[in-house]
Formats: sequence, C-alpha cells, structure tokens
Amino acid sequence: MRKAFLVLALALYAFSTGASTEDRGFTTGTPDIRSISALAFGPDGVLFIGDGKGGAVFAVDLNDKAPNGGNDVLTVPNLEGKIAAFLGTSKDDVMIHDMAVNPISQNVYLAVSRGRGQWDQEWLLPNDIADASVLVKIDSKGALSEVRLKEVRFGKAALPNPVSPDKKHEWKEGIALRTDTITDISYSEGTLYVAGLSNEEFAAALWRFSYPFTGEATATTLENYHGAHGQFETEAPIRTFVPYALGGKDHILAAYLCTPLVTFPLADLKDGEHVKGRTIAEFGSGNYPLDMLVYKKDGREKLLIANSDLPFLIVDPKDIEGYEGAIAEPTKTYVAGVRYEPRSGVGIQQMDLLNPETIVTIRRHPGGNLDLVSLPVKWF
Amino acid sequence: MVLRRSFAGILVLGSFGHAGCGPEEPARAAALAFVSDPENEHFGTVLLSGAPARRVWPTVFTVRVEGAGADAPPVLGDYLVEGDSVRFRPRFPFTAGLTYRGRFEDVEMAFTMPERDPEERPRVEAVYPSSPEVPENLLRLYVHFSHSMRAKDVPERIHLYDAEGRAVPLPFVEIEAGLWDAQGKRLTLFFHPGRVKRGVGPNLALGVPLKAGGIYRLVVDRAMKDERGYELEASFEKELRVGPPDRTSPDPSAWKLSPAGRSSPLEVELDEPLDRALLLRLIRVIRDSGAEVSGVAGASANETLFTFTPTTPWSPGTHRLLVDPEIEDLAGNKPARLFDEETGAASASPKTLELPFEIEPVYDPPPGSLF
Repeated sequence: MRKAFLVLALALYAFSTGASTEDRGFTTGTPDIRSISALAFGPDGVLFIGDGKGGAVFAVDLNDKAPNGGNDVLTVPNLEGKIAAFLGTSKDDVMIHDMAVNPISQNVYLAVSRGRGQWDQEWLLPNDIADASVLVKIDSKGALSEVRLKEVRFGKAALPNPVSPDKKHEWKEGIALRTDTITDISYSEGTLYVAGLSNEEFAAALWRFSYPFTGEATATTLENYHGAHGQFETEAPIRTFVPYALGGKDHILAAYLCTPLVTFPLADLKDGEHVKGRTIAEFGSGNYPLDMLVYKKDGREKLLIANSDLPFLIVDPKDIEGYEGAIAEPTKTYVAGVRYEPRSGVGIQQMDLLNPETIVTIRRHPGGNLDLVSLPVKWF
Repeated sequence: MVLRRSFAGILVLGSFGHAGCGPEEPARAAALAFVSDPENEHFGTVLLSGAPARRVWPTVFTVRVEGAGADAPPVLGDYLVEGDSVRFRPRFPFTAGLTYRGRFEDVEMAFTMPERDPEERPRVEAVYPSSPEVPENLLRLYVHFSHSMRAKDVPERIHLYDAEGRAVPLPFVEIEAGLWDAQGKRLTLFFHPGRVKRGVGPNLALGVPLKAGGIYRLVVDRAMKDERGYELEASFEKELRVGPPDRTSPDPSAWKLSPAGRSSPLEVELDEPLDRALLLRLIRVIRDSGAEVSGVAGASANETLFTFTPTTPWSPGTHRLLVDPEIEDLAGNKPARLFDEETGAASASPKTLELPFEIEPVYDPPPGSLF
C-alpha cells in the first residue's frame, strides 16, 4: 500500500512537473544539435545533451516520466549488433558515444553514430571519430527505439568561448581539439556542469550553467599535476567527473587521461579564473577513465570509476577526505596517493546507475560482443 | 527525363483476402521492391505497392539486415505514403555488400547492395582565401573539392556561423545550383554584393555579412554529394577572423619580382593577398618580342606570392609580366578602381599593367668540361 501510494505520488509529481517545462524558457521545435557528445539526466526526466561540435548544451523534455520504482536488472546481449541492425549496417560501423539512465523511468539512453571508418589510431575516442546523431532509447524490456529530436520541448545554452575548430590535437593526428569541447556533463542541484576545452590560453575548462537556463554561465580554466607525465597540465580536459561533497564542502572530483584523480573545491571555481586542482591519486599511465559514479552500499557512498585499460576502481570518499597531501612530483611507482580497491570488470565502455541496487554497463566481452550488462551494487 | 533504374532482388508477391469485399472489387496484391536512387545505385528505398489500408507502418512493414538475428530491431527509417504505396527510406543509406529483407505480412523480398570502394569519398581540399584573416568586405570564398560535385542544394549545405554559433542570414548570393567551375570541383561563394557595397539597400537593411573583429565559421555539410552520390568523408570547417575593411586598391607597381634560374619559377611578392582565381587567370608573361611564354601560374603564402613556372626553360632577355586590370584583391578592389567607388570616379579606361624583368644569360659549360 505504501508503495502504491508512493507510485501515485510520483505519478502526480511527474504530471505536475510535466507542465512546468513551460516555465523553463523551453520552446517547441527542432534543436540544432550538431553532435550528441555527452548525456546526463536532470530533474523531472529532462535530458541534458552536450553538443561539442556546436559548442552548446541542450535540455530536452523527453516526456519520459512514467516512474519505475523497481530494482530490476536490464540485459541486452549483443547490443552492438542490435544497434547495427537498427541503423541498417554491420557491427563494425556503429559507435556508442555516451549513455545515461533516466532515474524516473529507468529507461537507458544512448548517443549513437554510424561510421567507424575513420578509426585509425589507438587512442581515439568515439567523439574523435564521428558525430553522434541518433538518440536511442532502451526500455525495461531491452527493446530499442529512436527518440527523434524533432518538435520537442527544449532549452539551449551556448558555451562561452569553446575551443576553436581550427586548433589541432597535439598527438592525435589530424584530430581537431573541437572533438573534446565537451567531454562530460553532470547535473546537481540546479547546476549543469560541463567539462571540456575552451579557447583560452589554458584550454581545460569547467563551465557551470544555472538550470533552468538563464543565459548565465561561469567559466573556469583548470590546471593540475599529472604524476605519470611529471608536469602540470592545462590542455588535457577532464575525461569524467562527479560533483561531490567532501568534508561538507562541495567539490568536483575529476579524472584525467593517464589517470590522475583531482579535487577542485566548488567555491574556488569562479568565473574567468584559472584554478589549480589538487591531485590526490594516480591510478596509472596508459588509461582513459571513461565513467564515474557514486553508489551507496550498506549506507556508505563509494566512488566507482570505469576505465579503458584498467578494471573498475573503487575509491572511498572517506579516504579522500583523510588524504591531506597533493601529488606534485613524478610518481616513482605506477600508482600514488589515495588508496583504491580494484574490481573485476574490463572493457567497460559506458556505466550509469540503473537504480539504487543496479549498475548498468556496456561491456566488450572476450568473445567480441558488446553487451549491455547489469551488475548488482552489492557486488562492489 | 532520367530513367529510374530499379533493382529488385528476390521478389515475392502475395495477395490478401479481404473479408467483406464485394465481387466487383479485384483482390489487391501487395508487392515489395528495392528502388535505387535514379542517380546512384548505392542509394535507394524500399517500396511497398498495393498497400491495403492505412496502418502503423513501422510495425507491419519492416526492413531488416539479413543475418542480424531474430531479436534485432528492424532498420530505422521513415515511411512515406504515396497514394496506395508506402516508401521506406532508411535513416542512413543501405550499406554496400549487406543483404536486407523487406517484409509486409506474408510478402517478403531480399536485396543486396552493390559493393563500393570506400576510399572514393569526396572531400574539401581547400578554401580560399587561405588565410583565416579576412577583411570585413571580403567578396568571395572558393571551396575546392576532390571530386566533381553535384551542383545542387548549395544554400542548404554551406553555412556561415558567427562566434555564438548563430547562422549568418543570407550571407551569400543564393543560387541553388551554385557557382561551379566547368569540372564541378570549385564552388564560388559570392558574399551578397548588395550587402558588402556601402550605401545600397541590402547593406543599409541587413548590414555587412561579416563584421570586423568577429570570428566566423564556414561549414560545408558532410551531406554534400559528389556526382556519383557519395557524401563528403567529413564535414568541413574553416574559421574566418574578420579584420577591418580593405578600401585600398592592389598596387602592382609595388610588387617585387624575383626571377630565378633557368627553369625555376618567377616569384612575385604581391602587396596584399589577391583573389586566387583571378590571380591565376589574369596574369600572363610575354617576351620582348611579344611572344607569350607558356607556363603554370601558382599562388602561395596566403595568396601573397604569385609564381610562374615556365613549361620550357627561360630564354635570356627582357620579359614582361602583364597584369589584367580586372585583377582584384579579397574585397573586389581593382588596381584602378575600388569595389564600391562612386561610378563617376572610375578612371576612364584602365590599361593592362606591364612589369618588366630580365632573365640573365646562364653559362652552360660545354660537354666534357671539367667545370
């Protein structure tokens, strides 16, 4: 009975907020999205889309507000083959750029592109290869459908001074820095955080947009020490991050290629400033941290990082709070700083919380298939 | 009239029982066929003809990749109703070499797309002016493609965006088929002269398309197709950083000529970047006798350096560089007349400008010489 009441309350809430997009400055039409570079859910089932090529963020009302309060798992074997069939092609010609779960409905959304032909270098990421143009929804039964971004209710905010399309990547041959304009986005308590590259002298940037979009954004350029490279870097963008409170103060916890973990106090991230973060851990060179989330097990929150070349890494926020040092010298060993715990799980390309008890991943298995796989939180 | 080439794979016809149909109404037969693009065999749609009634088409009429598995979804696309036919247009073109199966109730049809060489995709090879720095009153842009392109839909495929990502409205003279060279490989984008020219209607109403101090992006959509129907391998972008307007004429008398050795090119350092197409076309070289020297014209250093490489080695003696008075800088200013000069102020009859230069005799050692 209590559950039924909760569902009803959620339904009423969804209904009441369904109309409220009228008040968010949304308009109905076709958002001019050039690349679906990054996805994140906001309140009330609103999907944020980071458009790196267009240098903008969009908030789209997907009208997907039917609550699913269950803790079911979701599995889609051979997801890549199914997406390929959906886009009318073969498995070697599709890419998944990002994944986000609608916390209300538990439907999974994917940014997808067709065209992997330009993949000619080891360290290229999907956004380096192609622009995702299709938004795919996977429902609780594992069925794929397209979410057409036409005649939808949406809002848009432009990034102030995104990196110029003319600038080339230093070591990715023929790749424009523009592909890293937006590397990750995250929503928390009225703010949309956007990580990527600006056109400033120190390119690595974090933008903050108040949501609903008011036209105001703050832009901060970032710098941090990379122990594996033995230097401070201002050009490398955040690869994945979460807003998180450490010691009662809001922070950004950010992971970078080769794999420093860095904290930035939110209070320091002022508009137009250049901020040095504190490198608190080094997880090893030759690895992209691909996704990061916070889960709760036995009443305690933990940070989980999925990687291109390492297993899952679990970091206890209490260990971060207890770590007072800052890594500012080349690491003598492969790892340094805050301790972490590994968990089996390689080839994880995408990761998000499906529900409080389940983490959903997209994983390349040894047999070659790319599957959508759910993992119980209790296993971590 | 282009004949529509249609290619059908295994075609199975089926008929439908229609309960309640009177005997005077003939039974309709539904049929499926792959219809290739009239201009390109690599693109096409699937046509369901004799469709019985309005349906929720994606649920009853499907096209699937053969061998993708029973639990794979059908191909994503649009269903276009045309009379009693329904056309399925895939969101992305069918893939070369793959077999597809169309199905409508008990009607089935399979087709295989012909193979193609993926290396042959066209691309944008260059945009001129080469320099990202351009004057506010820039008159033309040239887009060079690797393949002969389809002269179609140019206004929809080429965009100019300002620093905020807003499309600049009507920046170019809108010609649907575009201004192409004979080969269809060079597209000329003409900034609306009425907007560039000071004091005329469009300039006063809309202002100049480029504003000094602004940063713009020229974007050529990947969807631009070559004459075979192949899309560009990637969309193309060029940044334009706009400086103050250029209101001075090019001055050939200030050009620096440096003739080199016997077979090496004549190099001419220009006083400012010139319109590349005109630069390559409107300069000739003659000998003292008046005989024209055949050779290849080139432009480099952001169109501030003109080179002329003779087909055969230079002959010693006096030569002259003939500069047509119609030559223009990036803003359309000619040596004797500014682009937007009052017509009355134009000089009466601009003459071809002549710049003499000497080719020195070269000492050729006789065969067998120690030197």
